[in-house]
Amino acid sequence: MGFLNHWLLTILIFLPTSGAVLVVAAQGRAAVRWTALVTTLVTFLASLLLLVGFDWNQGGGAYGSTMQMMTSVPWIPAFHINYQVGVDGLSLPLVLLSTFICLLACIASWNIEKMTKGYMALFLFLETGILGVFLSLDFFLFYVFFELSLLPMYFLIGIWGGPRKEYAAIKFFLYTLVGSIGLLIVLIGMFLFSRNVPGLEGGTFDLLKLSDPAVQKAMGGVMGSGVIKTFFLLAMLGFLIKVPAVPFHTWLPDAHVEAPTPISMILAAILLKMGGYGIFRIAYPLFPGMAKELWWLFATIGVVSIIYGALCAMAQTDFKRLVAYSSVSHMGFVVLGAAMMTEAAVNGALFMMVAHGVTSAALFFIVGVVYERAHHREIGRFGGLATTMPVYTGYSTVMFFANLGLPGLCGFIGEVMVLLGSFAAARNGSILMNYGVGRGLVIGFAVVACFGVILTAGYMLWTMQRVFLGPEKSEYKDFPEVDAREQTVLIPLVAMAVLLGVLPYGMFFVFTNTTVAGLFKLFG
Amino acid sequence: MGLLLSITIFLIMGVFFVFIAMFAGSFLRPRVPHPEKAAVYECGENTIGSNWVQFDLRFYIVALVFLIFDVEVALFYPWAVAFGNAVALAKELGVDVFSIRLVAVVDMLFFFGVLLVGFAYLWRFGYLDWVRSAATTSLRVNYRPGIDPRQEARTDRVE
Amino acid sequence: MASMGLIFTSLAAVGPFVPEWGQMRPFVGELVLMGTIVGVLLSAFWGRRSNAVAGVVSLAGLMLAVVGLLLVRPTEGGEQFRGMLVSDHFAVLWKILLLVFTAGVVLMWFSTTRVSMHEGDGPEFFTLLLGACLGMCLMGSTSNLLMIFMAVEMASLPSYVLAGFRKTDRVGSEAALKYVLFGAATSAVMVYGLSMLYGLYGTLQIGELARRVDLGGGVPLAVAMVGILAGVGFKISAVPFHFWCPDVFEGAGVDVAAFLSVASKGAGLTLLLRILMTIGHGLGYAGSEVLTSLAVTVGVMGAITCTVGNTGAYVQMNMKRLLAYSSIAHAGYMLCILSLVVRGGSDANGVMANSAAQALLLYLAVYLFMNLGAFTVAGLVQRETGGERLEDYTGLGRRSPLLAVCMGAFMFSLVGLPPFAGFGAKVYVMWKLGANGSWWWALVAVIGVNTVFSLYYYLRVVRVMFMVESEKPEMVVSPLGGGLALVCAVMLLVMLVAFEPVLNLTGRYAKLHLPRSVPTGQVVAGGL
Repeated sequence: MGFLNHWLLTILIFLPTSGAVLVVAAQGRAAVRWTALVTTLVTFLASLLLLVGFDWNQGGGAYGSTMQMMTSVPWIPAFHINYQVGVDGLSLPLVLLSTFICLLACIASWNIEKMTKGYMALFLFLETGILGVFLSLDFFLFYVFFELSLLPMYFLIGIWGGPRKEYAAIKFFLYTLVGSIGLLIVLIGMFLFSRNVPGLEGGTFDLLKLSDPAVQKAMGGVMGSGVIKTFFLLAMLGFLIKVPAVPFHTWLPDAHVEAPTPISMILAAILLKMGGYGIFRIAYPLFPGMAKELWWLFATIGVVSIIYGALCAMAQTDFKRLVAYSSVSHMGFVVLGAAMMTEAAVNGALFMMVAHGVTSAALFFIVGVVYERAHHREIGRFGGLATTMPVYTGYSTVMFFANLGLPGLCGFIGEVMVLLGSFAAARNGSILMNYGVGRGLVIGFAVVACFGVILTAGYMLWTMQRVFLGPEKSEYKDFPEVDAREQTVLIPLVAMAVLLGVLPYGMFFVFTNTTVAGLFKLFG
Repeated sequence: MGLLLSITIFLIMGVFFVFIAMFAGSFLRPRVPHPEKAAVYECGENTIGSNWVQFDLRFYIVALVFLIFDVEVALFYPWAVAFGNAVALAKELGVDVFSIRLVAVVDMLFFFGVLLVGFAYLWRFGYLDWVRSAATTSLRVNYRPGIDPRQEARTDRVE
Repeated sequence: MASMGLIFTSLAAVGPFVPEWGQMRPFVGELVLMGTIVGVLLSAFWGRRSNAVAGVVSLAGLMLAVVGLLLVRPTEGGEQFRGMLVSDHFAVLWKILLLVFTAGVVLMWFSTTRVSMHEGDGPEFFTLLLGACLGMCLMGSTSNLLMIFMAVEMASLPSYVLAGFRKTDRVGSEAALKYVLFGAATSAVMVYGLSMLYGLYGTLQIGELARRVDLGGGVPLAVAMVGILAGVGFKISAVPFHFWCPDVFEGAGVDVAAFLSVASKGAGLTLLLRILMTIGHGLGYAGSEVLTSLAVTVGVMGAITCTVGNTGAYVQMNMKRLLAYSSIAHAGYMLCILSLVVRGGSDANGVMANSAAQALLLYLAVYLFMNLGAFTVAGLVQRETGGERLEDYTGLGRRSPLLAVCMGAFMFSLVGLPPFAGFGAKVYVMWKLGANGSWWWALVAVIGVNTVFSLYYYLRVVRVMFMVESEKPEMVVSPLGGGLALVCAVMLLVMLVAFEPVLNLTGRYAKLHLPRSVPTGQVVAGGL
């Protein structure tokens, strides 16, 4: 166990890469597919081992105390860059989500015929990048993995995508790189300023040390509030582009529409979460003071994302684009939850990330299923699919309701927690109230966000009605029902949606509670 | 500094006087334009063709070879001056006269040797022949896969 | 002429120079190169002017020179030959990098342009290549005004001929002519600047001269500095002296373009670094006005250069032109490094200046592999398809996966993305600039913005290779060429994973001998 405790995370990160090497060496399409599938499966099983080794009650004190299974090996000692990985309540759910969705996406990729070997190799590299982002505790390492996940994604959209794949791929890359460069400047700056902290003379990239209030106090004296604000905004820019929040969201619909189905699943379910995770792991812990000062900015961005995303979704005629805008709207809740800075809201935002990971992956797969049969995604041209494909409609209905936030399914918990948390922020003793924020303003944001829930219900139900209900259409009559492979993808997702909705504490908050409490010690 | 200033003033005044002369001339002289005046001056003869002719490239090669050996001769002077009083020098440095002389000879042989190899190369491979094949090209004549840049129109250039 | 006579008489007064082996030893690289040049010429007499024999001889000579340099302990250097040349750690590593790179270019010649070269031209080609290389070696180890000019010209003149080496190629000839005219103009300006310096301060040694800068210089000093910047900027292809670069790269053979892209720029940058550091050291880094204005000039020049390079690359449809603009951009990044030199004395240890040398060496070490690889792929594609336009790269991902993947790696590394060493080098540069604080953060921002700019056109190459379908047949790649590209790509990966050893190596060699008052002083490790 000692060995596993030490190296499990590293094994987890590099398992997909070694799988990719095997994929490159494999001969024949079937061998390539099975190698990839076995790799993702093994990675998923290995990630389940985390649950065995994870001590749910560890810590409870300071922010870093919940960190477990840490490994730290010097990488570039001259600059105190370590290969440092660890897992805590923030990252554990997202790691599990990633391996889970990657496994399903790999199954969903079974029908990729074009350059299968290259596809699977890049897919596995992407998984390494994703896991690296969620597990690294060194700012430099985080950045390397953050960028590393860009390259395969660019190719996966650009080579295996739809008609405007090149445009979508480069747009995705450029947008994200703009954010990354800002992050890079923050990274360098934090390192340089941390050299002034007593005890850290060589400077540090350690995220846990950088989020230590004492260290921040020492650094704050050198940096001055202008620099801190610039750095915070740059870091937030990087993550908000990734999330994506309005007005940095325009790459997302294009990327989703052009990406192949499994890549859309990964993009929506995991890559967007890297933005949210970055906010909670880097931007807020490193700059808690600024987070309080600029709460209104991010609350505004969150609320605007919720409402604007929902309105855009309502106006879409393309099924996939609609789901993409629904992602913008849902990720708005994450930003809002972060801005409100109450335990309920932050917990809700974290839950929202996982819940949205499940539902959005399922919805993109559902779109993919029907697209494969109809070869178009025009919502207006569908109708009456419930008669032709009843089983498919059944799965879809569950996921639609999960997405619009029906109680008992996963989407509900996230939305309600964020909204409750937002109202709670207006209560005496909350962080924002203590900071001296106007109560009416906070309540105003919360109330407006509530309308987002209604709008979500509106467009989801309307889409439901247009696609599945109504009279059966002749051109869709001989559509085959979902086959075994497609069911293999859908059933786990539906099961997760129900489980997360029914047992939110046992499935989720048990991991995050102590860590979030630690996080709040930083804000307090 | 003062020297530099005077040089600068000198230069400026020099340039200034050229223009003064030209301006003054253009004001004072009568203006009588005539086509004959614009003709090329050929000692009274009618001009034949243009004087923009291509000079034979072979002259340049000879000129270059001359130049190299000219420079070499120029190097002999400081060499001779420096090593000329080897005996006195050896006494001053406290070394053997022979070793100083050896250095001198090796020095010049080294320099001269490199030049000679180049010269031999030119000679051996016909660069000094006045009449030689015009087909000296850097591209293999029978080279196949379409690199021939002579046919590559410069359509791809964007300025 | 009077000053020349003066120098000769003064030399005669102190007697002739009698070299000893100890003095020659640090310059074993140059000596071996000279021998190799003669060897290449002599090989023609026996080998029927065989191209391959000449290539092998020069490769062997370059290897020998590298081995010789590795055996040298740079500490035994210092100023040699009455201050004409300097040998120190910095120069040794620069020479090693340059010679390794030139050896790579020779290998590249074997795999790419060899087929198209007229049999019998090889000896001349390699003589010129090695001659230019020799000049660039010297550029890295001199701080004497005369030697600076000599070295620059020695590097330039063979380069002009190399650029126009394909005599029957009109584009190449035009490029060569443009190169010569531009080069002649800038070197004239430089020699003017150098003579002004001599006239102002009466010495040829920059170290000595810098001590007298405080005597005042005013406008003539500024003019002299502009002259030097013009001459060196031409070699670096810094804006506004960059116009030759795309045309020459397009017109010259791919091997020559590759050589110029790294060697010429690197030599110019090492020379400029040495000049600036020597001046800075002579002035005692005392925040003097001369030094500050030089720093600002170089920094601004760097910022403009990388911006111009990156924006110019946008519209290029020719691979070599694109790489030319890319190399201008990278020259800009490296110029930004040089602006650090000036803060050398901000702490008395001169640590900053030391790290500028390190950053430059590090960047060059990485940049060398990126460009060698990219040009090798360009050469192989040209050899197989006869084209060098972007459209000739369509479908390369299918036609030759090895080349396409390697090229992708080079492009991403040139952008500065992990997992390639280009990322490490770029971050290191930004880091060092940021560490200097104040307006150097502006340079960090410029480099950051430029990275985003550059992404687009580098990705265009990737897009063409992987995302544009093409009916073209599969490519047969020679094992040598493919191997060279692969080695470069793997090196880039390795150099990021093992960034620490690279840092240590460059750190160890980032020491310059900076004479302060006595011409033959001890080695001053960046002012240690």
